Amino acid sequence: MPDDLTPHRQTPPARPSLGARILGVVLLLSSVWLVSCQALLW
Amino acid sequence: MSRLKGALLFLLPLPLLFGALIGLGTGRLDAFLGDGAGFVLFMAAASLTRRGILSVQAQQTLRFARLERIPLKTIGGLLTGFATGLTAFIAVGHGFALSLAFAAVALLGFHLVYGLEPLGRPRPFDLSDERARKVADALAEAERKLIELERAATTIANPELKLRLQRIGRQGRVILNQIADRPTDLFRARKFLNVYLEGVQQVADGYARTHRLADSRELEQNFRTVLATVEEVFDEQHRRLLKTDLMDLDVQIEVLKKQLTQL
Repeated sequence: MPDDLTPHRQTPPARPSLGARILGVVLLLSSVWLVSCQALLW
Repeated sequence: MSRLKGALLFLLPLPLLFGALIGLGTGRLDAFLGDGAGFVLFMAAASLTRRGILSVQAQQTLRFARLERIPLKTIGGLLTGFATGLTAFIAVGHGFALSLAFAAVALLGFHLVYGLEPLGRPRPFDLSDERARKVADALAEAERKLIELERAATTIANPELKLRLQRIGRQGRVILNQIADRPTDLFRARKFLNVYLEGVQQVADGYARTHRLADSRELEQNFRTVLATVEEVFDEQHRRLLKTDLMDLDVQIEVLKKQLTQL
């Protein structure tokens, strides 16, 4: 049996970096937002 | 801040709502249905994503229990991509390939902002043998009881009793951590895990359910007395485990000393 069973999952899952998140927001704006606006104007 | 989690996904598709309402106002059923369906899908995706984010945050407070986990965030992301593609195809009238491209861009954006969950369930322990699995299961079960206990504490109005239950929850977690650090303590703490923890959880649950219906001073006093006893027992359990750990360490030191002198 191992010496201890202290869980290995101590740290929260890594979040995407700030740059990646900004790029993600831009991509969401140019897909979800853009398509929604196009649908409104169609 | 957690109230704002996933807010972007609720805001971005808002033009679809206006589109659907304008379609309704101008008597264009196709615009109403197309924009409305897209909006409903986007809202479902945003709601799933938000629940997924909150559920991940809640899981991080658990050390031992492995709750069944549905990858809500991933489902939310896929639904966001699907809703984008469908809206582009039906409500806007783009071609299939372009709609697919919009869906892919939305999915990538979602992944960069929120992150898709890894496939498969994470294993909290390195469970190399049967006994380690038994200890892990016992700890997970005990932690579930502590969670129930803490849940019961939140529904009790009396601040003193609430505080006592919260203190018992903290004491319980300290003991579970002790067992996790030294799994051999599981045998010594079996009465704590199987009898006391179960008992206090059931009593707290029962009190939380009934104390509003029957406002009895006697019941409250009995509950207070039993909680005080539980606190003492938990404290005693903690000290006993600590003492045996120290005794074990003493023995190990003695053995090492003898081995070193024999060299």
